[in-house]
This record gives sequence, structure tokens and C-alpha cells, in this order.
Amino acid sequence: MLKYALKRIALMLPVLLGITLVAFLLLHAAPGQPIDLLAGDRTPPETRALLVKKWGLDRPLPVQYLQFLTNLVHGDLGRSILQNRPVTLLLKTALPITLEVGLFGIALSAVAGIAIGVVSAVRRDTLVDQAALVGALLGISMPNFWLALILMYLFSVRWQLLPSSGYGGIRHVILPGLALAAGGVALIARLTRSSVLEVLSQDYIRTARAKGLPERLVIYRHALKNALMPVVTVLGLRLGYMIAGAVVLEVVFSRPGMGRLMVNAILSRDYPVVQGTLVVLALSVMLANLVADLLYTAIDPRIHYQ
Amino acid sequence: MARFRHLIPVGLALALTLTACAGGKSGPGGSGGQAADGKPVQGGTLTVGVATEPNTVDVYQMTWSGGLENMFQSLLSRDFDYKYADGLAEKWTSSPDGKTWTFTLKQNVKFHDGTPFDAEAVKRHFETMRDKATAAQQASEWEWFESMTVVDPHTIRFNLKQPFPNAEFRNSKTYGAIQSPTAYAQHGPNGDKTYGIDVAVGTGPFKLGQYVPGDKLVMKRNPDYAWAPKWAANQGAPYIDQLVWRLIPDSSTRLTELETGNIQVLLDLPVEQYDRAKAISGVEVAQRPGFGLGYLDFRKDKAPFNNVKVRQAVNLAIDREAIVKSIFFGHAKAAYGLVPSELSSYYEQKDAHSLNVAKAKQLLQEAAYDPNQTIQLITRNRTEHVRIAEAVQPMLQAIGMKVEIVQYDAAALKAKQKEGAWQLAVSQYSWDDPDILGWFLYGKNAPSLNSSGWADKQTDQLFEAAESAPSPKERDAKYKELQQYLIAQAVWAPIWFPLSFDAIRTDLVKGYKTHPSGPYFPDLWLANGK
Repeated sequence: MLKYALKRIALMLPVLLGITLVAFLLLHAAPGQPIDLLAGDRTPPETRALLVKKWGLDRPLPVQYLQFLTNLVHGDLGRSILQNRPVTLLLKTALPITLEVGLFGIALSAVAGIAIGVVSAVRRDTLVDQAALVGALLGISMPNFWLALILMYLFSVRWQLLPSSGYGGIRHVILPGLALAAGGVALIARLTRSSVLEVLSQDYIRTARAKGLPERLVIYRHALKNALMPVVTVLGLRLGYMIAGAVVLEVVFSRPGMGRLMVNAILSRDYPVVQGTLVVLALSVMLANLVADLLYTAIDPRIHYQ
Repeated sequence: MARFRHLIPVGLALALTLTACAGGKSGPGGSGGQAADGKPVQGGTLTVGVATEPNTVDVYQMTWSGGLENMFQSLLSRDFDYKYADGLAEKWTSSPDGKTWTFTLKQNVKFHDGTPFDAEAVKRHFETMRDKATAAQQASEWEWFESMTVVDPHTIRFNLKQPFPNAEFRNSKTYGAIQSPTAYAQHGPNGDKTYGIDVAVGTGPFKLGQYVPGDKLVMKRNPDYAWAPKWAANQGAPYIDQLVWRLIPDSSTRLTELETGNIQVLLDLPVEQYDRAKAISGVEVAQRPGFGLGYLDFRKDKAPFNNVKVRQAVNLAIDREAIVKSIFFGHAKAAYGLVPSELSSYYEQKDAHSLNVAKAKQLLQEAAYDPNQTIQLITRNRTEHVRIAEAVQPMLQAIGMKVEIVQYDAAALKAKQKEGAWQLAVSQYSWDDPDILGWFLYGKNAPSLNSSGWADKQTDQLFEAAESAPSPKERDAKYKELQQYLIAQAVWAPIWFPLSFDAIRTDLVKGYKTHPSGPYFPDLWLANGK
């Protein structure tokens, strides 16, 4: 198992290399240069040339990319061209802001989604199930930025319970977390429901019921464990969506997190920051998938990785 | 106290990288009135919601100065009527031949780091600004004088080769604000800190507390401040303890924060939110002059827009009033000139810029315009400009000009413009001086600023004459001449003069009075003192 995990981590390296290379090429292929936005139009050509040289933008692309890799190995992601500050410093401030909402969103998706899914499966075709279906439909259909504004209106303006934007403390996490999780809850609930229903129709469940086990045990000990497999997969993949959603929600909720950092960096062609955020985001998605894979073994002892 | 409004780098030839100054008469909507607000209360934090933040709080490197006039002061300021007023200098004169400008500085002024502000500091500041090694963004704005003389500790003289009537303007901008030379030497590029982020030292009513790019800029009250401009109601240190500038990129969120009271002042309210903001109880919306122009720019050295008749035809095809009504909900002004209408040098010519489809068609015919070609109209992908492009497209279609809209982000647009790969562009500048015409149309500014292929001897001569006129009055006259000429040449198709709006919670913030460049924060206090 440990060996497997290590192997997977080693495999991340080529993936990471590929991602940074593609990003590097795409960014440099896009029209525009960071110096254009950094230097004023009246900045004399000599000064402009000085800036280009200072940031190493005059060197051939392969050399620039190799330099990036060499620095990366040393844990140095370079300096932001626009802000003239170390990228690692920018990431250190932005990452927690994104993570707290992302983790809250994932946790909420998992807990609420699984709970609603199980209840709908057990009470299949009752009013509860129908209500959950309508709720899921709404959750999936509502764009998160729109839901964000509605939540803001209700919780901040109308009831004045929660802050409408900013960060710092759990109170600031709840609204963006809810907006981010809505789609996830709906998806996980529907998935859990169908998965549980499928498992419930299997022979070993009938056997468990036949030997007189209480329904609670049948559901939670026997059915749920097997039903959760696809749910875990989706949760792992969901992290990618969480980050995509964070980009939009960080603008709406005015949170200076990874999403906003990356989008602003792309718009200003701040190459080092784009690369830095990409490395971190790619790593977190890959790690989440690894965790999901390892969770399988915890849920299903029949699964062994070598 | 210098009051400036930032500069909005938008449209095509943009990122002017300068700070535009606002001024003009107080617009409707902002009355307030300090008398009715009672006695000022000391203390508390005032939070301002903004859509854009400065790239740095270093005067030498900033390309956007929104809010920084609260930390930094220039030699001059602008009063409520947009007239030049005292700043760090109390008196200033120009010699009869226009070749020297002498500024008498206020006494007992201190920088935030405790070092004295005097003529020596001014000299060192401008020397650093002009030093190539500083690579200052605005260095070229300070080439108008040849040398400086410290006459006495409180008198500085600028010595010029030829008259420069616009010295007052340059010295009233935030980009001309004086930083502490001592602090810059200690913490600047070769120093121990990131100057402009961790430290920045001026003389203003507030000093730098904390700057978290992407999030907020915190300014702390400068308790020593006793050199406010004469027009300020509060001659001493600010009433509020802390002034926080919060960057809230989403406009709906910004307005919600105003409604909940988390921010008490919202700067640059988008026009589509005008009615919503007004409906919030306690909110007053104040109008200021926009000091800018939105226009269509032509690639003037390539067919078809190298033909003046084609450019004139476009000018006659645009229904400006309709655009102002439908896109700006009436919160802008139709533009019939090339520089902001509030300027003393303003010149307009309605007939050159009024809807006349028949004449436009005739001009195209005279120019032997090929109606089968498709013109590329490029625009930055910001909503307002895209809407303008979409409104203009059918108007040009009506005179027989086929137009295709292409959107770019700011960086890509600049690159396209540099390559010269464009024909027609939605552009906008924010600037409050006619020298903007020279920026974009003066031959020597090609190709970086003047990127529309306009190389014209007469333009250059008129511009040079204006910039070296012996007096501001003669300068205005020369600029009017230049505008008349440029309008005849139809170098641009002006469309709208923007207006600026601020929303203020007058139930929470007191002492508010509309200044052309927005709220003057040292005069404000919080109703409950916190």
C-alpha cells in the first residue's frame, strides 16, 4: 500500500511536467507581454528593455522553461512580475483562503449528499424522496454565482446573520461554502440514492434481512459500504470542480484566493504566478485523486494495491 | 491636499499609466452639508469599496493612484471648483518669460518618517524621479524643467529652457507627489524592504498601515498632519483613525456591502446600478465629472481609414444620444469634442459629430468605399465597450459599412495594437488635460502611444506651440486651434463623455461634501465614532 502510494506520487512528476510545459507554451503563445502592462506607454524603450532583461524575458523560451524547472526543484517559484514579490509568498496567503472554502464545500457535499441520498433510497418514492429530487434538480441547475448573490441577499442583507464578503474566520466560509457545495450535494445525493438502491436489490442484502438483522444495520453496515464506492470516486473528481467554482466565487465573495490570483495573473501575463498557481492546483487535484483511491481500500478490504 | 482621480487604462491606446485628475463643478446629487451634520466625532474605521487597486504605493512605480492622494501630497492641489490651490506649496509664481516656476513651501511639514519636508527634499525627490536607474513610470512627465534650485529651505525654483504653461497641472497630480527621499534611500530598490508594498512614506493626512495586494490597503491617521489645503473644512489631522480601501471586484457584491454597512463609501458606481444604489436607505449618490472620453479610433495610415472622408462618414453615422440613453441609462454625456467638456480648453463642433446618414453615405461614395469589405472593430472584452461596439455595428451597417466585432483581453489588445493589426477600435481615456491629444496623435509618440498611424506635421506644430505657450490662456487658445484641426481631420469619432458616481452612506458618514475628485476623507467622520 505504501509502495503503491509512493509509486503514484512518483507518477505525478511527469504529469506535473506536462501541465507546466503546456501552460508555459500556451501562455507564451497568447498575445501580449507582462512588460506591456507593467511599463507605461511613455516608459522609454531603454527602460522597457531593462525590464525585459531583468525578468529574463529576452531569453529563448526553452532556457526560460528550464530555468523555471531548476528553480522549482529548489522550491523557488520565482517572483511575480507585476507585484515584484515571491510567488511562494503569494501562494502562502492565497491557498488557505481557497482551501477553507473548498474543504468546507467538499465536506458539506459528502455529508449532506450521502445523508440525503440514503434517506431518499430508503424512503423511495415517498414525499421525502420527491422533495429530494426537486431539491437536487435545483441544486444542479442553479449557477453558483447566482446562488451566491441570493444567499448574500438573504443571509447578509435581509437577516444580517453572516458577512457578505471577505475572509477570516468560519463565518466568512459558510456562504461561499454553501454556494460551492449546492451542486455537489445534489450530485452526491442522486448518486448515493441510485447506488444504494442498486445494492439493496442484491442477494447478500436479502440474506442479511433473512437472517433477521435490523434494517438499520442492513443499510449502514452492509449496503452503504458498497454503495459508497462510486461516491468516493466522484468526490475525488469533484475537487477539480471546486477549484473551478472557486474562481467565480472568489470574485463574487471578494476573497483573494487561488482562483482570483490565477485569473488575474493570466490576464496580466504574469507568467511565474500562473505557473506557480498551476503547480499547486494540479498537485492538489492529483493528491485528492490519490486519497480517493486509497480510501477504496479502507471501504472495501477486497481491494489491494501493489 | 491634492485630489486626484486615477487613470483608467482602458480601450485601445491605454494604460496611460498616469493618474487622471478630476475636477469641475460639484454635480447634482452630492449635497451633504457639514453644518447639518453637527460636531465632528473623533475615531473609528471608515471602509471604502473599490473595484481597482494601485499596483504599488510607490509614487515612482504606480500606474494607478486611486486613493493614494490620501497618503501623498503634491506641491499643489485642486479646490472644489477645480482651480489650482495650495498643496505642499503655499504660493507659486511663474516668471514673465515663463522660464522659471518658483514654489514657496509650507513650513513645519514632516514626512511620515519624521524627516522634515523642505526644498532639499523636493529636489532630491525629483532627481530620483528623473534618474534612469529608478525607471520611474512617470519620468517623462518631469522632463519639462532643466534644473532645480534650492533658493532657501522653503523655496524651490524650477529652471526651464522654454516656457511650460502646464507646470501647475503636473504639480497637482498624485504621480508628482513628494516621497521622503530618506525613506526611499533606506528602503528603496537597494534597501531593506519592498518599497511600495511594505513601506511608503509621504506627507499626507494618512500614512501606510498595511498593504495586502488583492485584498486591502489600510491607511492610518497621521496625527501630526497640520498642513491641509486651505479649501479643506478640517485643517488638522483626520477625524477617522483608519481608512481602509477594500478591493471588491464584483460590482453586485460591492453594492451589497454598502447596503449592509460593511463599507460606508463606494467609489465609481457602475451606471447600471445607479437606481439600485439610490433606493438604498441612507445612501446618497454623488455625481462627478468623468474627465474622459469614449471614442472610436481609426488606423489612419491604412485603407480605408486613411481617407478623411471615410472617417468623417463614421462620425456622421453614430447616434450619440441613443448610445448615451441605451447603454449609459442617461448617466453620460454625448461627446461632440475630443477633450472633456469641463476643461477650459474645450472646443466642440456639433455638426461634425451629429447623425446624418445621407451625408455619410455620400461621403463614402465620394471616397469610393468598397461596401463588400468587412471592417474589424476591435474592443476590449469589458462589458461597456462590447456594448458600444454592438451599438455601433448596426449604425455603420446603415451607411453601408460591414463591421465585424473582435474582442480581446487587455494584454492581447495591446499586442494587436502594437502589431498594427486593427482597423477600428473602441477606445477610452481618462485624463483631464488637453495634452492627451499629443499623447495619442503627436508624431514623436509613435508607435507606442500614438499607435493609430497618425503622422502629421500640422498636428505636431500645433501641439508643440500649445505645450510651450507662454501662458495658460495662450495654451488653451492653441489647443482649441488644434482641436478644430483634428475634428476637421476626423482623427477620432468621439462618442461619450463618462460621468463618475460615488455612493455614500450619509447616515453613517458625516461631513460629506462633493469634491470633483470624490470624497475628501480627512473632512469626514463617522456618525457613531466607530
